[in-house]
Amino acid sequence: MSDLITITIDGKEIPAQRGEMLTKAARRAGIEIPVFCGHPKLDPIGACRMCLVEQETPRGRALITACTTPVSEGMVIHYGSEKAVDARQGTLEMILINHPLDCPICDKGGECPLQDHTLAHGPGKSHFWEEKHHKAKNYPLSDLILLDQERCILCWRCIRYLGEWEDKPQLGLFHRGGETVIDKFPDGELDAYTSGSIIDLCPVGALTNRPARFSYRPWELRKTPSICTHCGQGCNLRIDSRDDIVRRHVARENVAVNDEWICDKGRFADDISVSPARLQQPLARIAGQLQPVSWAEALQRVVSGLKGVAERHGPAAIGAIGSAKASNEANYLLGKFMRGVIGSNNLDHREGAALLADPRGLPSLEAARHADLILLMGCDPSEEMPVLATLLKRAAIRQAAAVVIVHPRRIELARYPGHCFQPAPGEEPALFDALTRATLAGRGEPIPAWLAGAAEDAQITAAANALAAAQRPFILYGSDYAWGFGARAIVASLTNWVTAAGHGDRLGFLHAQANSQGAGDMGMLPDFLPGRRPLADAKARGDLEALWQTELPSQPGLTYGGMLASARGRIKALYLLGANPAGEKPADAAALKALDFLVVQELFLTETAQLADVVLPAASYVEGDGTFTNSERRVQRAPQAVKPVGNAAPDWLILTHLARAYAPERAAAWSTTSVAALFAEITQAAPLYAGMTWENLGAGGRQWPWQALSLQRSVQPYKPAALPADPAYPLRLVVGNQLWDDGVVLAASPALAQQGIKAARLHPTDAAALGLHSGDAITLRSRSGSVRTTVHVDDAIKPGTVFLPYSLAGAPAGALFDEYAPRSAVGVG
Amino acid sequence: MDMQSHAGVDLDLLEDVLAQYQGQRGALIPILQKAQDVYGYLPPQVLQRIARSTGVAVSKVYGVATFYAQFYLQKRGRHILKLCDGTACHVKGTPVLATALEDHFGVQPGQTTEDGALTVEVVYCLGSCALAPVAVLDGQVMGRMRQEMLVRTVQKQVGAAGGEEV
Ligand code: SF4
Ligand code: SF4
Ligand code: FES
Ligand code: FES
Repeated sequence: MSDLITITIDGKEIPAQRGEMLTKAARRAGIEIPVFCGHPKLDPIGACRMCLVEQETPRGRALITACTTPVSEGMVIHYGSEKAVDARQGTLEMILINHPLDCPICDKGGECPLQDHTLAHGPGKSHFWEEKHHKAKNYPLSDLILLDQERCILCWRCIRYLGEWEDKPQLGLFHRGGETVIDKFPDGELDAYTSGSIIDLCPVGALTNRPARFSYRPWELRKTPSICTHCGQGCNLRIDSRDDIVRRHVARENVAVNDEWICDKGRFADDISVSPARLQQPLARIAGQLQPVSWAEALQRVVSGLKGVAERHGPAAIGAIGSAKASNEANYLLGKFMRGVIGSNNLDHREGAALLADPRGLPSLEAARHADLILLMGCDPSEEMPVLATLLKRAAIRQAAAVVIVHPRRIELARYPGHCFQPAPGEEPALFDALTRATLAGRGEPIPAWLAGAAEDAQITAAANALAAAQRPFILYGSDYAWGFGARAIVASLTNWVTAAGHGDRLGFLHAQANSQGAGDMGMLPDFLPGRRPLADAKARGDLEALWQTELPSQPGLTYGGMLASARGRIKALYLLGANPAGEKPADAAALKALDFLVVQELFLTETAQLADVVLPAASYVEGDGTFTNSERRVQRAPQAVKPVGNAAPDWLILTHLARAYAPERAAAWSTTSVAALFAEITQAAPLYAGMTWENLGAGGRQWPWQALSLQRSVQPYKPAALPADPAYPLRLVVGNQLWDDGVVLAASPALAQQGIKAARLHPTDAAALGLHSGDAITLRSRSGSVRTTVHVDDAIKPGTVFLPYSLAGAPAGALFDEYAPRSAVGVG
Repeated sequence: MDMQSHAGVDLDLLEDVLAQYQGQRGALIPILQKAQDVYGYLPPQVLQRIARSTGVAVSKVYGVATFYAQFYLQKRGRHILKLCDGTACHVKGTPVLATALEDHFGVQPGQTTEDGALTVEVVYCLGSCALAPVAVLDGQVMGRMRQEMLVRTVQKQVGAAGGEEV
């Protein structure tokens, strides 16, 4: 039976796919049947009657809803018949009876299907003259979303989205008849991390973006297709601006990346360009104080500062730290400047050499949708990549994918059937060994002697069997397991398990930062050149020397930690781009103060910038062109949407001018004048990017292939790392990302500063033993230092551990880090 | 909804009802009915408990509870007076009756007296139009109501059984 069939609409034969909805088949043939409740991403319900058409049946013509009717061979439909037109008019008239018709002050005005459908299908005037029902207007569903119940046409899209995609059915239809309203349960929450999707989905102005409200009329907006840079997913979105001010972000469809959703951070954290805290002018330390200077003077000071150090101590005394939040172009040029102009390989970023990430990130985000098993180790997609979490929930519900979790916290996705292991810090390798052993045993393979002692239990066997039996598992590990003391053993042992189960090639890494993948791809590493080519590879160095017209140093440089640790020693000057070590670890602030010369290129006057000799104000990603490479190696464009604030300049332009000022004789190698041209150079420097151009990245980006770098994996013994107990500090520190952090980006958004719980977390038993309640102030101490914060009691926390999210204002986890970081021993008091 | 006035709801009283329907699908309406029998109305804590036990989202439970007129989400008085305001009764003087009730008991239709003794509700046609205007006090139908008679009957009933539960 062929899937291609023929149906007839208004006497015209059109081809259709068997089983697709009539609305879809009609649209392909150019007939736009109006819909309200019908939506391609939501299950059909037929609630609004906007899409009525007539169908020929053996008993004559019948009115049907096109959005819920799958097409079948020979189907005959009348769309333009008098009865169908009448029915649709009637529906619209009904809807408009109680509609407040306040379009002039509605944010949706101008992009509202109700206006459009009324123009195309509605009656010209109403029969209705009675008083309308009045309902709640400007009613806050949350800090982020407002509901106008009078404008609501009861299409159920918001209700369905929260149920079908977020699995958080927090909105419902209450009361009945003309009184029916959408609402939350009294005093209920609307806290799904992608809750703002319902604003995009609402076909009328009933749900509006609270922070963005009344700041534009839709037709005056300049719409720039771009991406989100708040995490490693790289969701596609559109930046709408007016008068060079970003007014809102709306989701843009890219089925391979984010379907049609963005999370609330991506949607609402859009104030970076209007924050009064942004740096607008270069600053230089004059007589001990940072003072505004011209760009020419600032660059001159950078040149002479760096040259002075190079002459006195040699180029190896200079280092640079790039950023996993900055663009490919910024990181590439910072590397080119350091290696090619200064002559130093001291080059890294915070999530760089020390992070045991897979150099390819994760195989494919889209694979999450088809998974039959989801395995998450040391990562929490809900907090680190919320739209991925939404896709995973959908796989868990719609495809009954089992969810297997190994994490120190019982993360949100643990609510799905599967297995949740919460090994204490230090005990992860033993658990993974047991899983490996159970897997090998289950497959009847020999068990190596070093695994013989691993202890199994029923849950371990069940989880091992589930992974071994899975056909399309989606497997991720994340930064919680990938850096610091003991990480090598954790990553080796989890890799063993996944490899033993036959899925070694599906093991991916969840990058929490927008351009972690790209920063590595650009060679922002002490021992790798652009394109992930080893520094030790003479051919790779030769290629780059030809392209850059220079000689390259071949000695591997210092890592991020190494540079900071040497700041009182052989490192005399640092160039920091979008890095804020001083804010993350007090000890690093002290180290930076010891430098002869510090340059900071930044958006804000961070703790680190305050220590600098020269501060260069950078444009944010919406203020200049750039490319970013997401966790699945997808290179995407983020074109300029608004002008830079004040005198801020794009990173690539700053670095280009700096290099030309530093080495005028090399100006020929620094002559690109646009990001498109620069990107072309990058594709030559990084063969993984060969074939890409700024133009052909298009709206959806391009991926470099997973197979381009192949990793041979096999079950291997590894070196264990024992985490000693410390009776003086009885708890174990667990750090991690949370969506609503206290970082500079959210601090710049008044609407978001209040979101989330900003506290250290303890299990109820530990809290009770310490006599602590949620909201109490506490001091956490380790052998290295202490932080003060508040406590939140949470039974998702592993007993014996304390969870401290990164970037809590005034409580940097780094203050507690010792040689066992991040798994340091801590005490409360 | 004001959570304060629902404080102190004893959820243990619900356990028998929930146990009776444990594991049965589609039992939401009977559960709500029984729960209302227990509490006289459906306080939010009860709806939340029912949602948890049945696995139905609380937004759905609340949707059902608000959809059917038989369910009450507010605490009701010990005595219920239903005043018919269907067309026939309206014409025959329900508005006058409503004013009299307000004058004497201080409650408008839809409200409950502060001491929790009396709730006045409006209904639309009880099918006894020949007896209009009609009122129903604690299940007892009273036709051809006049204001003095209504006030007196209600006073007597509320006074007589004032302190007791019905
Ligand atoms: S609020 Fe919007 S999306 Fe939700 S039911 Fe009403 S019209 Fe539909
Ligand atoms: S999931 Fe990540 S990339 Fe997507 S919108 Fe949220 S923060 Fe941005
Ligand atoms: S769009 Fe078809 S019934 Fe709503
Ligand atoms: S109108 Fe009151 S009984 Fe019919």
